[in-house]
Amino acid sequence: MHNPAWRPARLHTGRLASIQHHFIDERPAVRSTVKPRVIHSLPVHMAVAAGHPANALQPHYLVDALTRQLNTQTSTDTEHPDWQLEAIPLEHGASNFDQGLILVFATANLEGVRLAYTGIKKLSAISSRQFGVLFSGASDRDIAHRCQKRLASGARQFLGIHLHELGHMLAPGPEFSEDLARLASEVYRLWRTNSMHNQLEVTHT
Amino acid sequence: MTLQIHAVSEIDSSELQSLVVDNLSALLGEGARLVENMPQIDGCCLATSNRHTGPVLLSFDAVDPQRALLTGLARADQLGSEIAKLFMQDYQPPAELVVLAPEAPPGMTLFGGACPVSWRCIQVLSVNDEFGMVIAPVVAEAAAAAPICMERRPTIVEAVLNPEEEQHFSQL
Repeated sequence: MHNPAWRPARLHTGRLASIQHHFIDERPAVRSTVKPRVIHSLPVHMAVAAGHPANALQPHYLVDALTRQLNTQTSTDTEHPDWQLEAIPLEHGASNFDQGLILVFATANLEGVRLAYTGIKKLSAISSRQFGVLFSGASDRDIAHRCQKRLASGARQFLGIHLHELGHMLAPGPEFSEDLARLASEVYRLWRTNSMHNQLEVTHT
Repeated sequence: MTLQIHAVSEIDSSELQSLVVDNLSALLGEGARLVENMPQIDGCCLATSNRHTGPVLLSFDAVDPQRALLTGLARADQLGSEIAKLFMQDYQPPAELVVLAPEAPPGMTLFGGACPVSWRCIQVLSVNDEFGMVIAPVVAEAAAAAPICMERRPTIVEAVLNPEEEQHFSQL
């Protein structure tokens, strides 16, 4: 049995781990090791409306927190690359990013849905890509659900694209760590699926 | 108690700014708020956001309407790019300019086509040695007489949605 004197230290460690997303560097640092590693850039399209609620998850916070979470969650996999999330300007497209998965972060209101759709339309015109859509800023679950459905049905009907729904995330609070971990897992799963699909296509050609 | 009320021609810009902030809802409607985390644009300009029309730049002067207009025009583009950076957006949202002055700025209609600009009549008063502000109601006839473009510049969304998509995304 552990020395009881260690218990407070373990509690503190657990507490720090649960709130580690609050302590984010200006630029999320990618671990540097002697062996050169592959850095994977995940493009993020920001469909953030001008009226994005101040108490919603903010885009820069999402980028920093998710980058950190992806690097933390996947650090045990030695073959796995390090991650960087980068906001993409629409006029440049996303052609310089190495994978087909694009994360779309949208305000959960009509303007956010329209901005998200516009971005997806422009980006999908450049090449075939997969899109994972995350919303924030809805006042209730019903609005978040309607935003997801409206965007998904529009993308399917007009662009023939199936969107991967990543749900709705609240601003940092008691459940943020769990939500962030779930989001990182889902993004990672999508990325793996997509990159395996791309490899199979290369093999066939 | 007798109220000592008289018009004020000289007021410190920070005091005028406080008056404008206090009267934000009266000027722009319910839901209007200051844009947070904005760098200081100018002593006589305020970046605000209206729930219905998006970013709005308020430019004010208690005496000189032309100075308020020119300062506002100079800062309007800056507001768009600052908000774009703030929200990491890839387009510049339209910045509407509202000039607050006792009279309509001369030449304002000339800028109507290039920048969405409007004027609200304000008058700063001293009431028992405390400052107050009178905001004149918007007169429909005056607005119709002046060819001021109140429409927002088309955003990137409006430019690329076809009619069917527009209909689909007209509501949630």
